[in-house]
Amino acid sequence: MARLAFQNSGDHGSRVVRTMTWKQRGFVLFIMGHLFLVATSLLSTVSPSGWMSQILAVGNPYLRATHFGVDARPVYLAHGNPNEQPLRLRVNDDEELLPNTIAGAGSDDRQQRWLATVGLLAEQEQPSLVAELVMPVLQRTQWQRPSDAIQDPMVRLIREPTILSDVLDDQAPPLYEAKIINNQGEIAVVRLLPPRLTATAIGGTSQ
Amino acid sequence: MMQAFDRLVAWWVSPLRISTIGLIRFALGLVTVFYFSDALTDVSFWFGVEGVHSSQNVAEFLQRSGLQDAAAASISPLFLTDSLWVYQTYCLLGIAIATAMMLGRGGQWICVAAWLSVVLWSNRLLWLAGLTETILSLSLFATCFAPTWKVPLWNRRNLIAGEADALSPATGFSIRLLAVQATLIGLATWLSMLAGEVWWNGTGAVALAAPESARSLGLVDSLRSPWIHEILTLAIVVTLPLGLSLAWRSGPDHSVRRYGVAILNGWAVLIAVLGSHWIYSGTLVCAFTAIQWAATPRELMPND
Repeated sequence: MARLAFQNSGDHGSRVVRTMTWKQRGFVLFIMGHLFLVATSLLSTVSPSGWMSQILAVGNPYLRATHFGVDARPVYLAHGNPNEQPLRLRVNDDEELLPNTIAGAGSDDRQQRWLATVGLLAEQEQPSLVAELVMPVLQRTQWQRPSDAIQDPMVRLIREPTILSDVLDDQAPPLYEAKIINNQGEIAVVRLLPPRLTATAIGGTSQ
Repeated sequence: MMQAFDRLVAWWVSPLRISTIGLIRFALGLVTVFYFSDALTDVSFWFGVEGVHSSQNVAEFLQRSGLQDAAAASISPLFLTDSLWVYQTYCLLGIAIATAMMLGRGGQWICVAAWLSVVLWSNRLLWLAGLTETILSLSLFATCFAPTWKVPLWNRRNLIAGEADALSPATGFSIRLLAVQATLIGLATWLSMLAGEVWWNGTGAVALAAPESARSLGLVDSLRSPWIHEILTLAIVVTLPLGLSLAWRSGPDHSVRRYGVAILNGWAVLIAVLGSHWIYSGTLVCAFTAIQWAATPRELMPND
């Protein structure tokens, strides 16, 4: 396609503005449209305006098929939000469910993106979809073998504290918490709801 | 109106030396080789019949979540199989194609193949893909238009001059597309960065390095001093627009553009070191480097 557009570009070293061919004009027009969509996609990551959303609704098939669009992934480097804390999927707080990776490598990034998707669904109160993602991981691990299973295994998705997270962040309940039920090799998860505020006095002892 | 548009078209297709795209392709090929080598390390966890991200698991998830329409545009032949060896072979093929592109072998279509290999892989990744894949896809796409320039491995005289380094309008177009895209990415990054409080209160550099368990270099302890993290934050905020404005500066002094690109590349290296964004920064270095050639005024371009 490039050859078609550029073959009639005339003398290569000329410094005079030449009359452009319609193929060249068409090609540049296409690239301007391409850049417009890419720019809209890049600029829509913080908070897309109504126009941006409408433009992206039209341009998304092109942007997604070619992977040119950022698709709401943040282009900013960091905002220091709790969302940027690394996520961990653990069984009973001590055992990592996902395999070890080299920190900072692409494999680590992929794990974090997958965990971020699980975390997002958990925050949106979509426990069945979270289970849909978590189950294949559990099925790959020892929790499918009853003899190796520990007592009352629980799977938790937690945010790892960082230097910027405060005490309240660190004491926040897990994003997702579920009991693993192993029925003779058949794995299932039952989500545990986080404790809610209540007017009932708890923790008292009667003597 | 048409004259103004023709001037724009003329800018896009102003010829540049073929060797410029050769150097960019070499560096981008190297980044792509690294990308697919890295993908090989965890391919067996995500893909294959028992893979966490197998086609079957993805299809079930999309069906239950009602996201089939959103994912429909992410086209990839890899969705058709769950054979692990296919995915491993695909990564090896990606490495081979990127190596050929690095060395300028296989003609112009090898660049198209390198771009498609990244796009189809990224589409298969779906929510496992990130900004790195987007920037790599955009940059490889931009290099597809220029003719091939063979890296002279054995005959260094070709590197200096001669037929292999002729001027080409298609090379000019490729270099400018790469440069404009890099500028858009830089500007979008800068603008959206500033929406975060950390870039105003001086802790931006700490925020970048804070998730220590996900960073190659544990630098948080060395950033505790306000002097260090505030200077680094200021440097990250200031150097990006400064580098872009210098690199795009038109004028007879080519060294100003080189300083601009050096500042931009320094910014990318700093981001890589603090945030462990190695492939992202490597791709940006390739794209930023193109700006110095794209910004050269027409009257300063060499004659054929």
